[in-house]
Amino acid sequence: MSTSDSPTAPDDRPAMSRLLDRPNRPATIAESTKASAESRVLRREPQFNLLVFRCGAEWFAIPAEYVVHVSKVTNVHTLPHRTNNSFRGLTALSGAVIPVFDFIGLLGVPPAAENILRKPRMLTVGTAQESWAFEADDVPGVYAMPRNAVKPLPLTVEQSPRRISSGLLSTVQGSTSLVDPERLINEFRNAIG
Amino acid sequence: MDLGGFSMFDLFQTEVQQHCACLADGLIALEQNASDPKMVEPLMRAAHSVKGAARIINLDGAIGLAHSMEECLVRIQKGTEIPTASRIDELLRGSDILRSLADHKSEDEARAWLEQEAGPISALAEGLNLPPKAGVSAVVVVAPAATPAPAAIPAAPAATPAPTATTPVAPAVVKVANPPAAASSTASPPSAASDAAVLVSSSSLERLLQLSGEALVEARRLESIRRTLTRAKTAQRQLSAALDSLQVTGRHAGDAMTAVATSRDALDEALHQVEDHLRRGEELASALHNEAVSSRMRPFGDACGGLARSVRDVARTLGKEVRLIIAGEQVPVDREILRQLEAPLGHLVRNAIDHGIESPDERVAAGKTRQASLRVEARHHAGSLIVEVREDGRGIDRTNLRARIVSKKLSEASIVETLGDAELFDFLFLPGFSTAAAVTDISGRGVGLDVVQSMAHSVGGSIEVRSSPAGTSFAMRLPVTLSVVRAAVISIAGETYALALARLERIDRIARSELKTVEGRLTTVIRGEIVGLVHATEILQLKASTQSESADELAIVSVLAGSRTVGFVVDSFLGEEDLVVRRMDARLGDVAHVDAASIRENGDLLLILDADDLVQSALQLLEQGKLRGDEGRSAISKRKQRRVLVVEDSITVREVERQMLLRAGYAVDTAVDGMDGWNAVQKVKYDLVVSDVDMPRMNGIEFVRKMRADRRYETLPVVIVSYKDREEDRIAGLEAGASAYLTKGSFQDQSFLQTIADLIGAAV
Repeated sequence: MSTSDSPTAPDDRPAMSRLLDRPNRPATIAESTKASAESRVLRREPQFNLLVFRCGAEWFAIPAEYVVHVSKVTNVHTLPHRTNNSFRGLTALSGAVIPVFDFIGLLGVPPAAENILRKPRMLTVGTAQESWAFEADDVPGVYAMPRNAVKPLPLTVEQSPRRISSGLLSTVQGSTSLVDPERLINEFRNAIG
Repeated sequence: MDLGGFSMFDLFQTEVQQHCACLADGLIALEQNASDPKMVEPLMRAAHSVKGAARIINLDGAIGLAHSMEECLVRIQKGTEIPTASRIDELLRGSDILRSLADHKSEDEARAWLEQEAGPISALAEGLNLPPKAGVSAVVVVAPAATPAPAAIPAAPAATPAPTATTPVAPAVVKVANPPAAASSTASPPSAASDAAVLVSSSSLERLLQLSGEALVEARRLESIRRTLTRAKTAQRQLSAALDSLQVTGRHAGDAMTAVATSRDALDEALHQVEDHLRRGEELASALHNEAVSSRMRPFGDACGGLARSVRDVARTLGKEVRLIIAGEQVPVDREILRQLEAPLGHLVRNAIDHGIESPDERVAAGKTRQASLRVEARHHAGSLIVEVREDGRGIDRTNLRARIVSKKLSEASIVETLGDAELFDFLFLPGFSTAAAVTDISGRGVGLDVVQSMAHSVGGSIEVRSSPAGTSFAMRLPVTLSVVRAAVISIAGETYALALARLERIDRIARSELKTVEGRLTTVIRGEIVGLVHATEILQLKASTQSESADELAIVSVLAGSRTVGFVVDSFLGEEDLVVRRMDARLGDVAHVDAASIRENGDLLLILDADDLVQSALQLLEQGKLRGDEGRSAISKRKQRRVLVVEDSITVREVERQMLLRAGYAVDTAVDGMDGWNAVQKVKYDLVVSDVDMPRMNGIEFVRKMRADRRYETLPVVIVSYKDREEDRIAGLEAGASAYLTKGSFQDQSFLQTIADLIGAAV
């Protein structure tokens, strides 16, 4: 096996061939085995799929299983006596009548700078039976993130009774709040209650 | 079918209810055609199925009863036993008990009830195993279930005083499959299989309706692609013509021609395909949608299940002979209306036999047949569902009715004498009003007719009574469906709303100038009648859109409020449409003035308003003086609001003048110098111009002269306001043609506004 390695045996092949044909040393094999085994462990790490969206100046991410659908922006009909800063009214989405909320009004998110391009989409969250819609200013897509990438909220946010986030994430968009869907839906419910 | 959402008891309930309905109907038919063994078979099967269902959830008492019933029916089929009236009574009571059992809310309740009633139930089961008692039926008293839902089991007829010496003839049931008048009558009655009912959860049905509606919207969206393609085709033709006119020759020209021809063919092909797809897609989607909407419909016959039984029992108890005719069993009726109809229908039928139909002897004496005819009919007429209960009895005794009205102190004798039939019969629907001389268990308790009427009203229907010595008829006029409503589509504050046509008196388009005030309240004259108006935006607390406020034409929606009319001012009337009603989301709770939502053909949402609620709020607000009713300001004034142009180079003074005028209610525009002012007056019609004297480009004196020299502005009032307070300056201004010359001190002492008001009047 190791004959070609032996300095005693003459080898008349060109130097390049000799180099390429040289078998791996056990140490190299062990190293690369370890590396591929490690990456497999990484891949098995708990992950979740998050839909990332922007409302006003802030970025948010919501677990994809809570997203019913993302659609183009539809007309929202005012609901007499009810429409306010947080609740915009009703809209028709996929043949269903769905309440629409003003995410920015509801949470007091600051508006985005005027030069930031809007690519608005209607986001419907919740379940097919009970869904809630709001307009997002930009929805770049769904990202898979390891669960351990979630960092705790700053104390000031953590202490806010009406917070909807459960943690912070770093995405290509920058600092992104991980939305707790139950808290968000609770806010929606309160806004029409 | 997904039955995951149903418990075993739910399934037991459904199955038992179906089979018991079949038993009740079949037993009565059997009583009249005792010789036909074929009629017994379905009954045996029903009893057998109930037994099997009860066995699955181990309801022992019920298993025993169903078993005895089955055995008894087997004997009847074999001819070893004759189904006497009392035997039929027993079997019917058995079916009642099973039905009551299934009507309990939960399995536990059903089980408890079964244990509690074990004695009477096993007595009945044993009775069924003994030979029939001739003429007399076994007395079985079973207490009704504790829950209100199950019907009380009627006492056995034999327990009541025997009506006549001869056993009354059981009522005949004649079923008329389709009345000739029914618009929807089908050529042949559907087969049993095609009409079989299956269990589908209502939320799944609702979702089906939503998706089919969306499919229709999507199918119609292809129309815009078709239009784009048509445009491309036109452009392509122009391109081809342009290429021809260039008259270029050579290899490249040939290539271009070929390319043009190819693209033309491709476009034609694409257009064809899209048109074809559009047509088929729309047909398919709308058929699907119609089917989904109509899946809410059930045949009228479903509400008549218990009628034959009820008629038989009541007639037997009262010693009357009645032939029940049910017509229009296949007429489709909205599921929800059908559900609500069951109790009123039962009441009308009992009422007819008790009060309307005479005893056989009385009938014979009056020259009528012994057997009375009682007709229950459903038909579609003029877009409504008519449900009529008609008998050929003695008719309503008007003298008696008048006497009762007076004795109950509901009206004065002198007034009652003058009342016509319609008004007189209205008293029948008052709660607690009963014309029966004696209170009977059947229908003399004075409860019922008022319930019948309130059911009709609650779904937007009405009830009409007709009576003569040849009989009485109660006809309910109800909407065919609650899921589709014919509505007037209107625009309020720039958004789309609708009002059910049934609730509207009329809709008129009027010019804004036709709005007048009476005591400050907004009114208009519609066909010679003065109608009080209210802005819909005010009731709904919506901000009127600027566009709608300046429109010259608006629409008045008139809604009846008692015998008077209230007109609601809306932006415009967009047309009549059939709207598929979507109930408001339960999460929203009650939304004032809004009844339901609907999705229009273009996929947009609209809200269906509650006309009664609107009227009520309007009257309430008027009473409390909270309504701006004196819409003089926002409606009429919009056209008459005086508009003033302020021409002033100093930004401070300009702003002071603008603010003062605005606060006084004028509309104000500004210009920065004489030239700017001159341009402004040519664009907009002003009621008055305020101008400074010293200004760049064109000073005030020049500006005034220029206007006075133009015929269009020679009478336009101009007020000069200047720092120059010398007499010669004043004279120069007035000589140029100014209507007034004020100094800037006039801002302090109100003379500025006073002068303007003197010239053109107050702001409004």
